[in-house]
Amino acid sequence: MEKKELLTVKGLEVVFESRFNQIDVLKGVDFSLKENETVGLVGVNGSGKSTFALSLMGLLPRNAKIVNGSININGSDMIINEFEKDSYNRKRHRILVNEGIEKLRGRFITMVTQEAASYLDPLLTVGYQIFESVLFHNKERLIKRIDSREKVDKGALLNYVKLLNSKDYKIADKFLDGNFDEYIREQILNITRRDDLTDEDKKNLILALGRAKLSSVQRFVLSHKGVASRIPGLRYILNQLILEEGYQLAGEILGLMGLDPTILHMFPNQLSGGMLQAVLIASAIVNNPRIIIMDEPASSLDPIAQYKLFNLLSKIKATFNLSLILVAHDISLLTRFADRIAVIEDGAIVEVGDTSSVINNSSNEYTKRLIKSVINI
Amino acid sequence: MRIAAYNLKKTYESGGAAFGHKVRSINDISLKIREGQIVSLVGENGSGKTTLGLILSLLLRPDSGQIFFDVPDWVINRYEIALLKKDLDSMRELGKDYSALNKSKLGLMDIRKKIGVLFQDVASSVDPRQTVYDIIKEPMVVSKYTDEQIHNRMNELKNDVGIDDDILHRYPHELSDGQKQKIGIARALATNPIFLFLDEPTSNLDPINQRIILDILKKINSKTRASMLITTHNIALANYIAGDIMVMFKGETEEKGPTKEVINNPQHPYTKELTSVAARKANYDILYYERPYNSDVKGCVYHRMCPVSFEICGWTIDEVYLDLKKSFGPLDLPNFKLKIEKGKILLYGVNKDQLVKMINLYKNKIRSFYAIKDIKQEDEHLSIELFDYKEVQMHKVGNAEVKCHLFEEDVSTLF
Ligand SMILES: Nc1ncnc2c1ncn2[C@@H]1O[C@H](COP(=O)(O)OP(=O)(O)OP(=O)(O)O)[C@@H](O)[C@H]1O
Ligand SMILES: [Mg+2]
Repeated sequence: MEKKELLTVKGLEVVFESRFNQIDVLKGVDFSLKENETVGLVGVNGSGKSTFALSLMGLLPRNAKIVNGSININGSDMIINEFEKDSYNRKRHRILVNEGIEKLRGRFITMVTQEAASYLDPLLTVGYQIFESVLFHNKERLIKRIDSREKVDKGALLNYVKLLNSKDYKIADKFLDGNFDEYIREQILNITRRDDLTDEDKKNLILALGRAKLSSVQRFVLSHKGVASRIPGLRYILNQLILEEGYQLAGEILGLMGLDPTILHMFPNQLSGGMLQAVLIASAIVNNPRIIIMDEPASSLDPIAQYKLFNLLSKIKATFNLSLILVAHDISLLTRFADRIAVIEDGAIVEVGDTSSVINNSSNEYTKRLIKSVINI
Repeated sequence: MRIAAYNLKKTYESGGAAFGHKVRSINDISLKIREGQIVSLVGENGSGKTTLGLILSLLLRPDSGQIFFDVPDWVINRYEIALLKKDLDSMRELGKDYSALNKSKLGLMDIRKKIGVLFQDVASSVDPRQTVYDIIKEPMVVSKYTDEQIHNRMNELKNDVGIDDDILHRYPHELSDGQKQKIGIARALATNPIFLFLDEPTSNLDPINQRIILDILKKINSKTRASMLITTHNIALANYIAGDIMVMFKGETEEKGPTKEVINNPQHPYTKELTSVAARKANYDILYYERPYNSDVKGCVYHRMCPVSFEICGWTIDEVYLDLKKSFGPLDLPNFKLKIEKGKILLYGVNKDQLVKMINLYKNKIRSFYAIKDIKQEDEHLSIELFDYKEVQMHKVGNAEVKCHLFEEDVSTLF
């Protein structure tokens, strides 16, 4: 089956205005990214890789301007070409950035950059920083997760586990869809998709979802949120419940990534650079994005941390059905982890193809020069 | 320039003085760099590479230790003999007269002018209001170059490092990451220093520019006999440019020696892991099994991560306690409890057979279990006693030096 295209860029042109002149940085970039695909982006310094990444995110610096082209993310156009008449009644071309990108940013498409440590607050726990964006933009999700456990049909959980026992996964999937709400389903899936747990553990954890009980005060607070949020004592209980649920969610994400959940309550300075990078990725994943852009995610990490990070990326790519754009100078890492490689030269993509054909059989002189220059051990 | 540094130590206060939390940055590092020698520093993030480089560049004062720059041979010889004999008085005497750390401000300035430094984060180490041209020019102004000299040197640098004319009049924030790094390199080279500390000179460079920069450094090195200390995360690059290598972990030297020998025949377990990863041979099934950095490490700094560590490597009672807790935790035993009391771990709700079974099952994965010396049944609990750990020493292996308990002579009796 043809995979769906999540991102299509055509003829993208970007200029920078500096004090003396205007620099054309992207000169007509064509690019595409399919579902669950990893594309590596390589090119010499200053060829426009970071500029391209920023324009996808709608985060270009103020002196940069998109002057032509189209960016389509999941079916919607992010750039609107407008023709307006100027005072001499001549047609003038104007480009607007669709406000839609604001909504997609952080949700559908997100970016993780190099300086992990500098984005994390040293005074907040790692776990808090993972679920922080949910807390601010989607608090409802946390409350609904608690709610869904309160109301879950225990008989249905038991029946679902029985279906898992009989290993009839197709029927189990159907049953999961038909009998549980979206939030309980999310929690069940977060358990079943873990590969560090035995089947027995998973079943126990699923059954435990139905046993998680709130105290009567907590239940009251939750069902009278409006009132509770106005009374300090009750507001405290509500906030506490929501925070706990946030940690719970963050723990699930770390578990799915194969990371040690004990780091949840630690502070950034207790973790290594590689772990911090992983935490940033967790905090991106918590919003279920479909595309993650990484601009040189590993160049400041030591070799072991680099390698672990890329292993982690390829693992979560499958678990979370992600598509990745990896900007990196380390071609040998990309060779291992990218499905396709795009080569950018002076603001235009000059070659794109399957990793092995680009690395081994490129006929493009620039690509060949890049690859030949790599210093191997 | 020739450099000999001995027993350097540096501790940072973390979380502000109010927290009083000390973090060991480098601990007892000694390093000699001959004239014209290039040494590369490799090791994990936060292992102290930058701190060591800044100390050797006289930009940071160590808490203790001595650094000699270009002193007569007899000074070094005498200092090393005194060091062997642990003759602290002679060491202090020599240090007072010859160590750069005891020089007056002026004397220090003289040495400092001969040292070029590339900071890891170029953008934040320069004045953002200066143009690229002024940034590169600054060290030449400090060294009182004439306008003509500056003009000529600037042209040379532009050609050597590969900087386009149109970039010279931009500000740092108007550059790509790689362009910034090249500007930093040009600035470090500007006044023809005879010792260069380059912190990750090529981490943001593409393969073509990496090769260009390394080749320039090699050329400068053979032309001017400048010595260099280069940190890098790329073992292949270290192999390409540096005759000698030093592998660091958590502020200590784990292995040092000729690069070819260390890379082709690594001895320390950490070096082995580094080189196998660099050669893309490693295979991790557990992606991240890292112990967070908090308390001080006892014994060998690598013992917690080491796949072959054993009894004497430095296991403390807290570490064994945490590992027991982790392995019994998921079993959800009804009366299970763990306690530390009078230097022993007490275990409730488990019998000796269960514990021994657990230890044997996990011994090869959870290496701290090797430190368990004795298990006694006492009333309603088990009491666990540990082996003592030993401090680890440097050992000569071939032309390299390795800091690992595996090379201790009496170790064989333990197996
Ligand atoms: N804020 C800015 N103002 C003016 N020019 C800029 C600005 N940011 C980048 N540029 C220029 O745009 C071009 C592309 O830069 P970009 O950062 O996209 O390159 P890159 O491919 O990411 O390079 P690198 O590999 O070094 O990170 C470069 O010539 C750079 O100098
Ligand atoms: Mg870039």
